[in-house]
Formats: sequence, C-alpha cells, structure tokens
Amino acid sequence: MISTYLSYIFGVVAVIAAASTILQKNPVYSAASLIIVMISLAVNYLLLDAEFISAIQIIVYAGAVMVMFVFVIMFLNVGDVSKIKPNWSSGRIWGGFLTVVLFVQLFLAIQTIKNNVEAKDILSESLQGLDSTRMIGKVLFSDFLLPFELVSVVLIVGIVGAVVLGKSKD
Amino acid sequence: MILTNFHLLVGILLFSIGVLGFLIRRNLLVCFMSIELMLNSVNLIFVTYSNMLKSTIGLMYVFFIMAVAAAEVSIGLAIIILLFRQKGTVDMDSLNTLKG
Repeated sequence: MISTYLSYIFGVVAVIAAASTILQKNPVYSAASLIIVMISLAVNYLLLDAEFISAIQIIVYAGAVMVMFVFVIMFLNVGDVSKIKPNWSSGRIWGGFLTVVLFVQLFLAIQTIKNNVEAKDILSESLQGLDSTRMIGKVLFSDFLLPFELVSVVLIVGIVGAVVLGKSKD
Repeated sequence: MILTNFHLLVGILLFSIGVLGFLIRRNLLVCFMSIELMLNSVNLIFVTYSNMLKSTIGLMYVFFIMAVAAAEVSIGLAIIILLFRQKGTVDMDSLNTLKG
C-alpha cells in the first residue's frame, strides 16, 4: 500500500519538476529541476519492479548526463540570456495550442491501446520466476546480442565525434 | 490498473511538457533539456507497459534508448559549445544564417 502512495507522490513530483524545468529563467535551475525529475522517475522504476533500469537511470542520467549539462552551462557562463525581448508571442501561443492538441491525442491513444491490450504472459519458460535484472541479463546476451554490440559502436562514435568537434582548429 | 493509468498519464504529461518547452524556450540548452525530458517520458511508458504485460522487451528498449541518449548528449553539447564560440550566444533566434 505504501508503494502506491510513493508512486503517486513521486509521479506528481516529476510533473511539477518538469514544469519547473521549462519555466525557470536560469538554465542552472532548469538543470537542477531536471535532476529531480530523473530521480523521481528512478523511484517509479523501482516501484514498477525494474531495479536495473532504476539504477542505470540514476547512474547514467542523473549522474553522467546532467553533470555534463551543468558543466557546459557553467563553462559557457550563459546565466540569464534573455536580454533580447521576446518578439514572437504569437509563436508561443501556437506552441501552447499545439501542445494541448498533442496531449489530447496521446491521451486518446493511450486509452485506445489500454482497451485493446490484454495482459498475458509472453515470457518463455526459462525466464519464469526470475527478477528483472536476471531477465535483462539473459535476454540482453541472447536475443539482443547484435543490438548490444551495435550500441557500443554508437558510443564509440559519440566519443570520437565529441573529441573531433571539441578540438581547436590548428 | 489505476496505478498503471497514473503512470501512463505521468508519461504523456512529461512528454507534452517537453514538447512545450522545446517550442516556447529560446535558450538552446533548455531546449536540449526538453529533449531529454521527452526521452525520459518514453522510458517511463516503456517500463509501465513492460510491467503490465510482464515482458522484458520494454526494458531492453529502455536500455538502448539510454545508451543512444548518452551519445546524443555528448555530440549535442559539443555542437552547442562550437556554436557559442562562433556566435557568442546560445539564443536560438540568433541562429538564422540559413534564412539569409
């Protein structure tokens, strides 16, 4: 029962912190709000029986990605960049309108999918009764072996690309 | 079932907030954070359905999305640093070279 209350609390916290992320003037505050969103989502993953995903959410997102964001914000020293007055308030109104339309569409889509999907057990026999971390390990190194290796190539490309882009021209 | 509905609602709310932030903010870094927010909301929906259907496939996709997002952030922030060196600002309205 307490896990249900925790889910509700951290879900609401995630939404409020997400709103704070896009409304803060200072990018450092936005980054701090985004860290709160990611930690709340990690708690929700833990309550949804996905312990491994919760751990790498904390390590990769709240750790590595957000540290890089904060590092770049402080490196560039942008602070409050809104010195120019906004000259496209009509664009903002259209953006808000389109977002509401998108939200309604997503809501209807989720209602439709929820009515059509029946919960059935599609696990194979060998994975019955395992916790989610063991299941991820078994599936990752059997059925998803090729995508797993390709992801390592993607990460290598990311590293090399960042170094090539970041080096000085001489 | 009510809890599943709540998680899906949180997921689409976070996605909509991310889209809104990308559309109304002009700071390039905050727009980039909005993209991260959208990726996270998709992850939440994947994990919710994976828990509901008792399947591991959704968790695998979350794993791959996280790896791709990490690579995307490293490249994107390097590009933002290059833009800041050239233009001296990260305001999206100043990046109008292609418009002439």
